[in-house]
Amino acid sequence: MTQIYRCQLELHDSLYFATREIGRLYETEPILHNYALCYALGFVDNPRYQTQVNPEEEYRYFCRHQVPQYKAHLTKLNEQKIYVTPARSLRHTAVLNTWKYADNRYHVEMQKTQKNIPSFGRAKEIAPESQFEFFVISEQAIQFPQWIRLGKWMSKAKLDVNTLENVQRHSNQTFTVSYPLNPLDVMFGHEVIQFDTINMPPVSLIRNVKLRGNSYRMSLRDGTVYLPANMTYQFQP
Amino acid sequence: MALLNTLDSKFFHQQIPYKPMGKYVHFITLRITESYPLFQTDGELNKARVRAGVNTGKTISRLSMFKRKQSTPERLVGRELLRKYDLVKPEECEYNVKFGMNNPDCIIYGFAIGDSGSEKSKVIVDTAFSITPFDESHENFTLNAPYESGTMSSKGEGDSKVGEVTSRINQQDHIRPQVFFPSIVTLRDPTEASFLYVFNNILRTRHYGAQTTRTGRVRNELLGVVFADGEIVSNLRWTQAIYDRLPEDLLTSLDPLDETLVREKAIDAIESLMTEEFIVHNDFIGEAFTPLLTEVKSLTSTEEGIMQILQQADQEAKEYAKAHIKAPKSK
Repeated sequence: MTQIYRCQLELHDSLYFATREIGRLYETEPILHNYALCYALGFVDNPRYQTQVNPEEEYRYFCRHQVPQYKAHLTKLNEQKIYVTPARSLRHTAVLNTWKYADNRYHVEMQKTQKNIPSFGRAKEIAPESQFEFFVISEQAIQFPQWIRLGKWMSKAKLDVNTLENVQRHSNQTFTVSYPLNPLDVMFGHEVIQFDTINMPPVSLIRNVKLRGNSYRMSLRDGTVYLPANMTYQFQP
Repeated sequence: MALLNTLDSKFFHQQIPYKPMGKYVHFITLRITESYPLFQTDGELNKARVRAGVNTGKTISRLSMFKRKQSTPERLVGRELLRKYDLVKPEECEYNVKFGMNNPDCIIYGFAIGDSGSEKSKVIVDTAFSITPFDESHENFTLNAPYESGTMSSKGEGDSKVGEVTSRINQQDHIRPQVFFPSIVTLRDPTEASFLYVFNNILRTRHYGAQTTRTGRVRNELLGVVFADGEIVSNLRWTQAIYDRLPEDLLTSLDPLDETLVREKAIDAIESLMTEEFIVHNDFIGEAFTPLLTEVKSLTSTEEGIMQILQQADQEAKEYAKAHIKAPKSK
């Protein structure tokens, strides 16, 4: 039995990740990628959800290489039929912060930079008490943590989850999704007719999507919401 | 070899695990300013506009103490001790310059080196917010650089003319003394030695914020530790819960808050917030925390005790580095 959870996040610290880098300015887009949410919710490599990965791709404290293993990690979620949608902001504000590396020497000589690693910069972060919303679609019942951590600085956020009742399934319909979606995850199962793009790595997202295919229809307090059915994590071959 | 008698060894790992194992210890601290610290970026004190309390809907501006402005001084204190007791040589490991990758600081607090890999920090600190609003928690000072005579007008020192008034003055907002920042420091997958290492760093760190000034004295009052299998409440929520418990007239008054009162309300707030968590947790808060705090303090205040902690932590870090971080390529 497919369950759909409506999840709301409230930030309790400022959130930062680099959606865009403009010189020394690093900007955080107020949208949370669905890959990031899978990690933040603890769905990846977790015995509780039977998503353990091979030892070579395991999450470790020490990482020799900074290469993400999305395919190896998220394919396990497909097997368990757990899907997380990207999160949109319900309300948010941004703050600008300057950061720099600390140095504990008493005497520092200015040297010519040898490596192109920035030691200071400005980050546009999402302020505390901003709110986000996303959905989790799962075959099995999921127990969610109350507090999760997000972004580069591991900022704490509070998670509130509602299990949605009365979800209707429709097949082969044209419908519009106002929530952001991951285009790779919907384009193989649906005909995507119209969309706006949100540029962000590693996979740009789309919103205001008009598509044709199978869908879930949910009546929420603030109107009817459609979500594409059968979304799975897809990667280029 | 167990260093502590007051705690069950089930809270700790026997060695540092290479992947997250779901053991957490949360240090419940109250950071209290004792002089005029500066937490600023670009010449302005850091502040955040957030709700006043959990039950109080209105929003206020609060001073904020960024996460890395709390963890950096603490890890520097630990590094200082490692050098003092000859466990780390200055040339082998230099903060943000060259990480040794095999000492307690590198393994517990993490590092990132472009081509040699990165160790994730096991210590996570969150931004702390002042209980009282920004307006009541800061003051503006004029700074000057007086002449030898102690005055601002020249008596003919150096190249200056007699009677010339210096232009070396500036204005700067400072955080007042006795402003309270509730802050929870989280340590993942602790061993007994790494727990004590972090504990000691929090107890010993006395200065936060701008280091070039002579201000910045902050005292850390530990109110308790919570062992859990997950994350607990945020600094923001705890701060708001304390705000709710304090009388309105005290919060809007210009007088500093009374420490005994804040302490009492902070303990009450965290205890009540912990009942709302649905994770497994063992709390040592308030009176239940006293025996542990006494034991840790007596251990860290003797040379023998601190050496034991540091050596144990160092040995664990070396074993971990040997097993999971191979020796860096020689160039």
